[in-house]
Amino acid sequence: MGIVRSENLTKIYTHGRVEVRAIDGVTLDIEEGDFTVIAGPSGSGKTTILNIIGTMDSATHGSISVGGIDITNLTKGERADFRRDKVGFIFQNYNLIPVLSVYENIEFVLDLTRRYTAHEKKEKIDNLLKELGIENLAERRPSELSSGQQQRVAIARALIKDPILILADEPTANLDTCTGKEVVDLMEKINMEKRTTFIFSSHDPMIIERARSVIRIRDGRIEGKGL
Amino acid sequence: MILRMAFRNIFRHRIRTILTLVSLAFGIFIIILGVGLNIGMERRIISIMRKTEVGDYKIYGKGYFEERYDNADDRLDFLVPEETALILKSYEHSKRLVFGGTITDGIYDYPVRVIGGDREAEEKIFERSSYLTEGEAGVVLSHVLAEDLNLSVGDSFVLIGTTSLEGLNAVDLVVTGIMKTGGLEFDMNTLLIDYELAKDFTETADYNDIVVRGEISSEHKRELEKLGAEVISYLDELSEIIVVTRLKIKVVMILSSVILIMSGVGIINTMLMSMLERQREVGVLMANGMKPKDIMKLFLSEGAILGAIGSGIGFILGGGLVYYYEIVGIALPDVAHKMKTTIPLSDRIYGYFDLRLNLLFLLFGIIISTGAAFYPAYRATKLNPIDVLRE
Repeated sequence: MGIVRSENLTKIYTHGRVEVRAIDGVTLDIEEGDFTVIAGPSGSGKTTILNIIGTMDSATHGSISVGGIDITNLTKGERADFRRDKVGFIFQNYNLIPVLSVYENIEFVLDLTRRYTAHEKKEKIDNLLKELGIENLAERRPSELSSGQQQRVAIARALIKDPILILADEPTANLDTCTGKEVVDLMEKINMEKRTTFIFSSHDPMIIERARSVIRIRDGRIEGKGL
Repeated sequence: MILRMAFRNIFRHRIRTILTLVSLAFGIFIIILGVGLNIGMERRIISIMRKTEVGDYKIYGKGYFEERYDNADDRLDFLVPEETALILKSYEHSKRLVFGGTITDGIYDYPVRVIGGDREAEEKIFERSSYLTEGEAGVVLSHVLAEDLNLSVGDSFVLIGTTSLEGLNAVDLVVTGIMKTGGLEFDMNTLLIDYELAKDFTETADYNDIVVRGEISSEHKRELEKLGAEVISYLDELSEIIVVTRLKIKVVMILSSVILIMSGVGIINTMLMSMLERQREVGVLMANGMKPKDIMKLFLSEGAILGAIGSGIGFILGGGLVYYYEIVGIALPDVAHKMKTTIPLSDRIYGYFDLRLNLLFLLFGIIISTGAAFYPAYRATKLNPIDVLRE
């Protein structure tokens, strides 16, 4: 069953009198548990697709559903709820909150859901930190971590709420090859073990090689699908 | 978590935060100190005046109180009807003759207010003996007057004044005591003599000023007024002093509010800079599902915490100092004694620590600070996470 389905998705940005079609008639069908890369050069529309799937942005035309929920016309509040409950984000710059420790950076995501007691939160976070091999970093601040460690924490933050989907925007762009490989290994392992769907936007050949499906995009249009 | 984040965000830029806190603390400090000292001064003056001069009620001849400043030299024309004595029988009171006179040291004439009263009654109402710095009751000079005239106990002087029949009179008197009450006006120009002496001097058989200690029943008040006497409570008697003090309190509050508003503008600036620096973080919070109302809460909490800390420091410092002055007091410099003023002052200023009022000022500081955070908070809620995460 497709976890992400879109029909004729179009996003038009208006800059003054100029209209820019960031994506143009994109139709997607991404399966649950997939490890998919949306690949393409800079400015091709990869991030825009990811933003629309993650309800950070909305399409100008077309329709899209994620996890069986039609997200095309959600209100601002509904989109925030959707992001809180269903989607995990991993960013190129990790984007950890500098005033919070590693533990707290993960905890605040659970706090937003308001579904867990303090004890449940602790158990869940401790388990995940162990799983990702960063339990010894729990009390550290992001500034005390290496790039690879920061990205692992970002992965933990995305995973903690058991999302149906993780969207990773150029997750290896700021990492050296070796660390980038470790991070991709980790995400692949999670994908295999938990069957969490990963959708990347990337032009990193290493990610593209490891992906189980690749959507190639250029100038906002899909050029091709498959490996 | 929002509170924890808010608290830590505040201390990201310590210098900036400290400067903001200092301006807020200063505003609250000034408002608490200014108001505390003014209220303390008002209470002290009222207390001294009640203890030494006004009692709880004053009874005058009809028409005197309304025009007391115009008729200051004609006090003997406003006598209290004799029948009032019957009504006041059950009250602790002192019947006096109060009039203006002059004492001369041969070079200068010193205007004095002469109070002629019954020693025993005056002692009961005012505990006059407790204010004697030397000597005993009889002819008692206030200490500033004695210093100005260079008079000590046992020295003689001449009192000059007008009688009720508009004639001039003069009498040689010997100082039997010197008193100090702490009330500057009283200490500066008052001469206490026995009632009989006052009666002879002014050629008056009655009284023009009765002081009553305790609450006069409304029935008795009506009866006194029917007899043609004026019954004036100490609050009415001191109403002008109270009005002046309240006005001073208002001025302090307005000035302090200006300081606080300036602090508020500083907080808007600080929070706006902080918001602009943290746009990406706001984007991350939004990406993780934080709603605008929670972003608003985060920034308002920062404002509130800043307000609580800054105002708290001001509250502790200002309140502490006022409390200290409430116990110890501040001695007025000698120059205040030398002031030839009719403004009633006391020789020491005491603070008055009103917890409820000061807590209100504390709350005011927090509200100003939280209010100042509103605009930056509002701007933060309007950020587009896509834009700020892309930057």
